[in-house]
Amino acid sequence: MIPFHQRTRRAGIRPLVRKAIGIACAIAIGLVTGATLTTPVVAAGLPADDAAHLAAAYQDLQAERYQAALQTLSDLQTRHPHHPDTLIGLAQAHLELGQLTEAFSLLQLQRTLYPSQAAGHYLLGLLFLRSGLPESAVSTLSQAVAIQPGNELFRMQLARALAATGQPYAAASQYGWLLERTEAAGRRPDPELVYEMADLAARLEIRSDAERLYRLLIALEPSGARARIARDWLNNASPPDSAPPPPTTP
Amino acid sequence: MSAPGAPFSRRWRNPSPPNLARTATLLALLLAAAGTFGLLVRSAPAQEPEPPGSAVIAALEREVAILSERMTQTEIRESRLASDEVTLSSRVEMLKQAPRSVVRDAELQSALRSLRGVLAEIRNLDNLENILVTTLRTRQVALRQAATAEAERLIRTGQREVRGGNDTDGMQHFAAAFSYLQRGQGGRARNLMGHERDIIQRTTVPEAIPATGRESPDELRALAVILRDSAEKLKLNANATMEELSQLEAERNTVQALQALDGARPSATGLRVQNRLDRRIGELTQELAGIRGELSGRLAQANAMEWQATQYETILLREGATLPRKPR
Repeated sequence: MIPFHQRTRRAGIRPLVRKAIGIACAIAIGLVTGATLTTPVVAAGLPADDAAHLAAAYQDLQAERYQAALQTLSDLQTRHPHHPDTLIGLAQAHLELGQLTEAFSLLQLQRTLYPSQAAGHYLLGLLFLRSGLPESAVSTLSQAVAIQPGNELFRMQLARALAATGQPYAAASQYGWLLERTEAAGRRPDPELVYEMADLAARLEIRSDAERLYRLLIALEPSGARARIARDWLNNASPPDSAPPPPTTP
Repeated sequence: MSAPGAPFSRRWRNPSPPNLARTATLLALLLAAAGTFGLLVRSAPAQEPEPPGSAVIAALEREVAILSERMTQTEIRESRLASDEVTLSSRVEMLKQAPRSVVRDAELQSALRSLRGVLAEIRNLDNLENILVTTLRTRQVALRQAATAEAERLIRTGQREVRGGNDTDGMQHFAAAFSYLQRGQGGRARNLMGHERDIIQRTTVPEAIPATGRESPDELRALAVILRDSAEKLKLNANATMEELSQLEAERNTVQALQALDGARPSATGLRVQNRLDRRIGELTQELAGIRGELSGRLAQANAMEWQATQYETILLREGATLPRKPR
């Protein structure tokens, strides 16, 4: 298979058109990564060709074609060894392919060169979670959240890391933040998020929250394992204030 | 009171007066385990910071592997004994129901003897398992700390290399750092660190037995031993509560730090969660005060009983009387 950058070169696109494609790709990557990593618009400081390759690599990442992304990004890195988005994309490809040592090394390199970029901290947090190092994940994801407090993806993973380290209250506060933000924006909440939050609320015995969330979960996802668990909990839970009052003697 | 069909160990494990033999057995087990794992000879206490280095980490890894293997063996043995106990318990119950005869009595005695042997071994294994769990957890924490320290050192070195323009060496240091972080997890050994909060357990503390005032010196001393034993258990519970409290206080700091990121408008759920957390901390603080009060009360009572026994013995000796002994 011919690499993407060679295909574009063979097509003989004129420089201006190539530049326009580069900009369009950059915006596209910005949107893609904005939804996931919220990196700044990529391709800054890259020639149009390489910007297009970077865009293609990020599209491959989005489409879970990690091997193809890895190939393109490795090629790009030889030409631009310190480009932040190349490093991030490459680390993500390694991470998704389970090559954790490579991903870790690249992310450390990225964090050394660009310590104020949240994406590096976030990906490293994910890597720690996948490697069974939740304490390290909490620390790294907290750094990502401190840089970008409004990023829902960072908060979600931080909530999971906090729950994994046995800090249910801190995790519940993050899930709560996420849910309130989703509801305020009028968006449909993610059933997985609702389920995780409901489970935590039930464990912390915040009954009102647990009940509301399990009902919401059933409304969002009426069938399946999670809905069954929600129904079981709702059937077994007998709120203390619903008990009949004691009989009064005349 | 346990149901008649319940396994004997359940009944035996209920709070019962400890005796010197039990204390001695426990002490012997502790010493044996400590000797086996080289705790007395070479390892430092968990609180002491150990110098990071691959030799220390390798030694800790070996210890963790040995302890994990030992725990697995203990569990296998325990499960076999539990099965023997069920079999023997049902045999004893069956023989008890059978009509009395010389043969039945002999069989019953034999079954009871075997059952007692099995139960004694189960108790010993329980104690050994507790020691193993504590030791393994301590070693795992030490391993994680040493490996993390080494990884952090390597990351700092790698960062210096990268800033100096030597990416290749920097990346090698980063890769080595990750390998240490993974080694800090204890490799394939059993991991007791995953949910540390789950390990905080409370011990069942027997009720205090009030003295009637007619006890002999021996009986008073026996009661004092029971009180001291229960005070030890209370102390364990106080430690567990303190540990949980410190974890919750650390978590409260995390919650507050995260809420600070939300600015002037923290989430309503966040506030509810924090209230719940504050309430739990309040409950535990109260519980701790209660445990400490009970603990000091029991220790004072044990001291008073021992003093009373000594006084009683002194008076009797002065009068030239023979000390009364508890009938056997």
